[in-house]
Amino acid sequence: MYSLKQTIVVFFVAALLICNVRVLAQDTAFVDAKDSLEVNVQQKGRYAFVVYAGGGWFSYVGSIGSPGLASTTSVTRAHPAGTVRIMWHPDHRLRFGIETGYTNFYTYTVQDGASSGKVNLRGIPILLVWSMALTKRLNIFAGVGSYLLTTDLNYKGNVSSTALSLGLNAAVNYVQPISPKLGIGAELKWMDATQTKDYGVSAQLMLVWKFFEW
Amino acid sequence: MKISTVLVLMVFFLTSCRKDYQAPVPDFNNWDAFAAGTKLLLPAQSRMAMEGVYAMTEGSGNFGDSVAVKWNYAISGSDTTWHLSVFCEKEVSYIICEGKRLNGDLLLNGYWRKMTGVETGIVRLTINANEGADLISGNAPIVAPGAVLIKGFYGVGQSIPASVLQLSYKRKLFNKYPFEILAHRSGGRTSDLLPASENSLEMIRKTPEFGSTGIEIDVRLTSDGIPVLYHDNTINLRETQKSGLVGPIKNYSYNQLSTFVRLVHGEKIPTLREALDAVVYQTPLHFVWLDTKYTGGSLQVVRDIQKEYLQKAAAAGRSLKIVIGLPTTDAMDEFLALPDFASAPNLCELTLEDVNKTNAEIWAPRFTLGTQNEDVAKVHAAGKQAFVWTLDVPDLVQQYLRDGHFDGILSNYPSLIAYYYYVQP
Repeated sequence: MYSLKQTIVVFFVAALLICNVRVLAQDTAFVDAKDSLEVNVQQKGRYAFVVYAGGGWFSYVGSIGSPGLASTTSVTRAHPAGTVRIMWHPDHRLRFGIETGYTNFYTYTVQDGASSGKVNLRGIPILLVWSMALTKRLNIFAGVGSYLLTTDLNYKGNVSSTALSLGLNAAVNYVQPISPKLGIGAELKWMDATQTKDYGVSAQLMLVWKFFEW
Repeated sequence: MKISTVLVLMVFFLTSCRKDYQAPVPDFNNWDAFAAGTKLLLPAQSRMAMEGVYAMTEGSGNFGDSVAVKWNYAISGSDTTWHLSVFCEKEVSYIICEGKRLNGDLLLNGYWRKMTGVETGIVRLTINANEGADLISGNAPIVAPGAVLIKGFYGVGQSIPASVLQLSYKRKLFNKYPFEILAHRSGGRTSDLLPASENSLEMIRKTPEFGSTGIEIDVRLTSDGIPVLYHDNTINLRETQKSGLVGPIKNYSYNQLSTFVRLVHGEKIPTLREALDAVVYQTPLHFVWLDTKYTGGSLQVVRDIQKEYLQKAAAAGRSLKIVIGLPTTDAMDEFLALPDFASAPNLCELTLEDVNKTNAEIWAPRFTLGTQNEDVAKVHAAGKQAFVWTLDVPDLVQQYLRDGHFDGILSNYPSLIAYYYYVQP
């Protein structure tokens, strides 16, 4: 769905942002932490590692495809999903980190004469993530990397087969502080295994914890 | 940088899509005169008499100054369909037509395509009775230059043909030495927007239309040990429609692949048996190169099928060569482990020493190693053949035909090889 060109655009945007971090760091709107979760703001000379752990629901948006001769009897597009993300929060606006998680993309069952079968496609994202606070509590995220996809097929025998797909995600979340180091939030995320054209939207509740700072 | 700019760029990124290139064969079945025609029954000598190098007296701006014209066939059940293929110089273009007869005239209805892009369109041609149709219907005719005129029109896309196209017979096709025009992946890559998927039965039946005399097909084993045609190691969207199945093809049984996976144009992944069945009974192809893509599994099953289909071809009166390709030392080692390897027809891509070791009938180096005329001469002296792969660039094809001494060329564009081979003086 997305070409190399668009991937390059993302890296280009990221590079531009990195080049401008010092300018961004002067933005005083992000220095004042009075009514915000401390991990969500930038304070000169302070750095932190922050973990985001979330769980919620994923809804598959892409097409299921063509299951050959067999007739599809049911398709399940909504499944539970989870996210674990560790971000480095420096003293400027742009942060980066890594993200993983788990989701079932979709499941379908088929009937082929007297035989029935079931296909389940699940994925584990392995992404480099960039993030930026738009306001004190509102953040955007963009990730590029891979999805470790696994097919579980049950039809005249069981097969579990894995493959890597290039992929990306983009998310927006809102974090409400509940202590100087903890926050809770909600996140809306686009997950896209671009190479296999598997994509969908996830809504998750999130716990945010600044577990180390210096 | 403003936040709004970042957001706009992100929206652009998430909403942009890659252009989807397609070159569908236009629907050419709406020519009333052709529909009224009768099935074309041309005796072999008439077809051969019509085949030749023609001057493109009208339409050269689109197709080039000269073309090679050749008949080929495909068999479906008890029905044989003859196609006239016109291999053109310009931008790797070709014309493929079916023939019918109407009131003594010969009608040719089909389409053209340029392989360098997505341009295609409908072609309607006629050979009038007094401009060659009578002549080529006679017994063992000798056709003089200008004696056969093929006239008509071509269009762009689905439009009704309106641009003038005219071909005039010049001379016979070049055939001073036998030469194999081998189609890669059974006819060409799916990425070249051909009307059938690579490594499919449909492509095997179609590839003679593109000028192929033989094919290279990619053989892999399913988890239950059935050899199937598939190029890549994994199931992917380059070769298949979306199915939810990912990972190596060897993880799945043939039943599972057959039920859940379709190639890009909707075909099933064929077994090696089905592919060779199509070659023997449905095409005029006389060479098959089995490119064994798997390692770690025995070649015995492929060897058994090779033997079986060589016998079937002989029983059907077909002159057919089926060779097991040996692209790597691992494949060679597995081949040498066969109890009857010395009598198993094979094609070795490795060194001349390896060619002798495997008793290969054919040596097939890659084109980047050059024409290697001295080594090719050694191979010929040993009574073997030499093929080169994979040539897709017109200048290189010309160079290898002019300066090299190979007995065949493997290409993704067999029509390109056909043009440059057949128009040689």
